[in-house]
Amino acid sequence: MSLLRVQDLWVKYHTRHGVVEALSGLNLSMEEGEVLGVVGESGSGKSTLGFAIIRLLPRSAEVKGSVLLNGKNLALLPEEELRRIRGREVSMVFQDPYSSLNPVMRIGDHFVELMMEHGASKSREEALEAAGELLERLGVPRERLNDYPHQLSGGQRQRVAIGLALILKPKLVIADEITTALDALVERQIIDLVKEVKREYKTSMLFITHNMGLVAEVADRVAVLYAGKLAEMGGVREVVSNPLHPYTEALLRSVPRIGGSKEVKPIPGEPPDMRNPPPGCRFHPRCPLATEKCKLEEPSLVEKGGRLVACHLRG
Amino acid sequence: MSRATSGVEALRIEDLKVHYPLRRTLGDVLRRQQRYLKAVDGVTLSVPEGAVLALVGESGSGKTTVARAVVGLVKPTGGRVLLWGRDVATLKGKELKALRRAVQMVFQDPSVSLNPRMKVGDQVKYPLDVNSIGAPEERRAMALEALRTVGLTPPEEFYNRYPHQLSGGQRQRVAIARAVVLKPRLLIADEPISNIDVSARAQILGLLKGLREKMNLSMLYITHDLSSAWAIADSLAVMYLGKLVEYGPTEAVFNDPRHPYTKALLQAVPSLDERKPWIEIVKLKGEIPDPLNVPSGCRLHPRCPLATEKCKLEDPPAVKVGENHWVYCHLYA
Repeated sequence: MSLLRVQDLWVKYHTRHGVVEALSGLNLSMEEGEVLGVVGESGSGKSTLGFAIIRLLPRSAEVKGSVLLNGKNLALLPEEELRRIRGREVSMVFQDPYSSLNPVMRIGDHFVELMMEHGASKSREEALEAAGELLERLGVPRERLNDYPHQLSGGQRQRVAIGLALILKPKLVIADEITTALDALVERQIIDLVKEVKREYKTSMLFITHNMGLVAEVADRVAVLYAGKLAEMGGVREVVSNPLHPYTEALLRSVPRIGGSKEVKPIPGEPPDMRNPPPGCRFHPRCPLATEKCKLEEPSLVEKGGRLVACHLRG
Repeated sequence: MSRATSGVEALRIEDLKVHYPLRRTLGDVLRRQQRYLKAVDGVTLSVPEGAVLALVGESGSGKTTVARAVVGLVKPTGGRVLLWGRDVATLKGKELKALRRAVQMVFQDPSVSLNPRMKVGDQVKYPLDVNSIGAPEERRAMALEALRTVGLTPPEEFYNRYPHQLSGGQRQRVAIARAVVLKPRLLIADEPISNIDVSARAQILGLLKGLREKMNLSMLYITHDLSSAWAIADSLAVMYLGKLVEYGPTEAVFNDPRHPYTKALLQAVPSLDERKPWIEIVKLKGEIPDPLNVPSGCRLHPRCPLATEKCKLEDPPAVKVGENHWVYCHLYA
């Protein structure tokens, strides 16, 4: 049985300016111990996917479909039960570590509260001991437990946020652009940390990012999202070296590679307005290969060489 | 120290220092002292006419302050800024204005640099109004032309829109149009692609490269994104805590980085490619220190695995390691 199975997931946001379709019938699954990279531009639905799994979407969101974690459908769980599952079975790390830290609470108290709430430790001392041990393994001195979030550097705060996500040993961690706000050298430290966590804790991770290079380094498989749909999914090495979907290809080409060609090859046009996504293949207005068929018919996701791709021409 | 460059220099910065005075605490007042944040502390750089120099470094390295000093948004504490060989501090009135007009800046975040309540076309026209360029009725046509140049077509349609009606990438195009409408000769681009979406990044980078060719622009391109620097710059200057650590032709610095900091920075980039085996692996300790408390000697020494006693005490000299390739490090002295 897969650790995570997302089935026919639809998310619509009801806004003042209309209904925005963020995810349109998404299917994917993850195995235990696997890191699945989720890439796409802003508006592709990648963050919505993370929030939908852990059920932190705003009230304006209308959700359909199921999210099975170890066979349990999170989409149907009452709020009470969700509270027990968040942190313990699935947790999330955000781009801005401040969103998971309370500015007027000491670092140690974050851990104490979380662990006592979930019955993971009997006493404050026991919780602090476990937290200190974990933080040291994540590269944060134990003394930091007595500090407030603002006393830490940006990198340390993100390490603490990762610590909070790991302390209850969840099966799945959702990482949403966790290195985007960090400087290059701190980003490198966090990437190395993620790799280490993967090796040592065998935690499964849904790694959401816009950076293909980052996915290539940390993920086993990658799901490429475009306009709320899966464009392509497969082993990260295969996808990066031989992309099937024209969007994946364009995305890979749009980032200059140090040492490679200095020519810049952007994807033409803009991502679609998701209040009114284009008919047929959603990428067709920007696709250099698009045919009449692409404008009219929606391509279905088909298997090709152990990979999934949704394209009339490459499927 | 001199760096020979052939031909005219569009921009030359000599031993530039920008020190911001800090608010005095009671202790400072009693001790009759004033403390400073040394954002830029002795930087020498040159942008030859028609060339693109990328200035790279982490937050707090002082790269944006260099840009602001060049366009006159901050006053240098020391050193000189020369535009086409003329020291801006010695110029006044019309002459200074003409020189300033030839240097335009694009800022990091177009949602901040644009006026939300003004039509984008009028914002592009505004510099023409301020500088009284062309007859008032011609200015609209010039603004439309600038919008076309940056790829906002049809320009008539974009002219009447407001910033919130545009995507991030389109907003940055407007900011670039506003900079190029005055037909500048030097463009200062401060992280122009950092705050926009991935797909728009390549578009803006391509646009800047195209403008450079079309308008024969010289450019100071400031970024923390090394792959964009690779694609656009002829030479590269790496800054750390207010000082240069390495400076040289783009290929030379990327293929043969010398300074431990440059090496670490290059290796940090998440990449689709395998690691470059010929670049020695340097793991720096910790994070960039508080700029109020700059380490003595070489500013990198507390983090550098190769640091010696000398590094703790003495400022590193500039050492020539190749054609126009300089490194500020005791290891090469």
